[in-house]
Amino acid sequence: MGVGIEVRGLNAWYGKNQALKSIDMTVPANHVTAVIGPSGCGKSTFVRCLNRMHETIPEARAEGDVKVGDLEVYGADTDPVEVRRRIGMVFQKPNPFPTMSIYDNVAAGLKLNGFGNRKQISELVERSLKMAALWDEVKDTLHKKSGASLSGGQQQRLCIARSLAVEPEVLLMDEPASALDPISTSKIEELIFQLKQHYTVVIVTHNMQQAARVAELTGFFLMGSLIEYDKTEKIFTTPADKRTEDYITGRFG
Amino acid sequence: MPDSPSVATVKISVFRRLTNSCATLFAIAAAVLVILPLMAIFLYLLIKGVQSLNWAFLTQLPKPPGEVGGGMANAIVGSGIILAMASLVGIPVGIGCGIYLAEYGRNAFGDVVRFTSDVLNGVPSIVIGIAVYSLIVVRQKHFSAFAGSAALAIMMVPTVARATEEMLLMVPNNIREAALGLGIPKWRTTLSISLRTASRAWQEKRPRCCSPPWVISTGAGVLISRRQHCRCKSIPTPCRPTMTGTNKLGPGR
Repeated sequence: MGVGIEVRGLNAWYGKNQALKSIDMTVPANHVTAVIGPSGCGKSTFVRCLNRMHETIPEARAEGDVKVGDLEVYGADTDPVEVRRRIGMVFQKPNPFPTMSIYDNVAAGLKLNGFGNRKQISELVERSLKMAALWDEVKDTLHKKSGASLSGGQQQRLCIARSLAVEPEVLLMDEPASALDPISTSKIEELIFQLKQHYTVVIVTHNMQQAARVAELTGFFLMGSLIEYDKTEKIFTTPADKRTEDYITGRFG
Repeated sequence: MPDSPSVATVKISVFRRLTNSCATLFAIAAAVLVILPLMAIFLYLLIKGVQSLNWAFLTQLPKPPGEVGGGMANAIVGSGIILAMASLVGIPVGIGCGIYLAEYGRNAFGDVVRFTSDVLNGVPSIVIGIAVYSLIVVRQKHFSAFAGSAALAIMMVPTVARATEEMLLMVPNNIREAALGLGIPKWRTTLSISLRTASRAWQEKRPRCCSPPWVISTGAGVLISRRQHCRCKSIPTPCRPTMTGTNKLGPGR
């Protein structure tokens, strides 16, 4: 089951550059929340802060209160590895492990975390691939084909399956469909819709139609600040802030 | 202009074609000129030597000077032992060093290590040979396979380290991010994902810097472990390396 996310006063920097300025945001459990905004507004940084991937970049740091369920993400004794295990992430560019078979790609998170039960692993792999709507396409070549031999859209669904295999509570998606063609995109969107029954999904997107299609809630970021955060319908029909309106009507960005 | 080729352009193209053919011919002639002596020597060696290349040559010990027959068993075994002992130390240390440089060494200490290994890489094998000679051979008062291995290991470490670093740097960062995002600890990511991806990439496309460690010069090693002929009057034991001239293979770069 998904859990909610509470963000209070989140700040993030790249070196001396402040990328996020005291963000407050509450993401409800089992909902799809979209994050939109022009390039460089901090939306990717924001989701990367939620699972502490931000700090893996040299000279990048973040501080603030982020609670995912009962987990204090920036707690003093919180292990970032544990955070990332509970909060899955799908990246913009499909990035399957090129040396591994399809099966091993999905099983990687389990195996490399010391999860040894083979039978359970193979069940989880099958379940994850089914959830990612990839099972029927790859079930005959699970061990034969490498993850990199799939098409772009299949690779991205493989990456989603890989994140699901470790059974996270939250799934972060950083522009998961921006490198894909419209058919693959609609498959991914359909998938997101299915996923929210089991997970809380936060999706970064450049594509406003996509946000309107998949998300119940939408947050609009601009220059490191969260300008407006409301029901998607409200954001796209009667935004409260002038800047939001300018952005969604295409007057800038 | 493009659809009306003037007489002048046709003339130029004939001239160009002629020059081109001449240059090609010249290049081929030069190549043949260079390769011919090499091939001549190689063929001569092959014709004269192939009948001596039999099982006895590989398994028998050399006969005293002046006598016909005998083999190179001691030299072959000796080289093998030196190489094995050197690899045992040189490869793990080198790979560890390379991992540090690529994954953790983006700091002042890393720069020092990188610079040192570059300097060490540039030191002629004979100099390392002399250093080991004065440190080990002079103290032990005799040549040994151990001393040879020490020299070889010293040469191996920087080469292997830099090759490993280059290999790891070729691994795209999004592969690392994918692994970290699954909640796999960094050390595990490096060993099971980055290094694996790197070694696969290396097998498929070998960059020039990555000569396999086993072709690394045995020059200094051979020099150091070499026994004087006069000492060999006693029956040479098979593991006693009495190999040939110095620097036969040259640095494997």
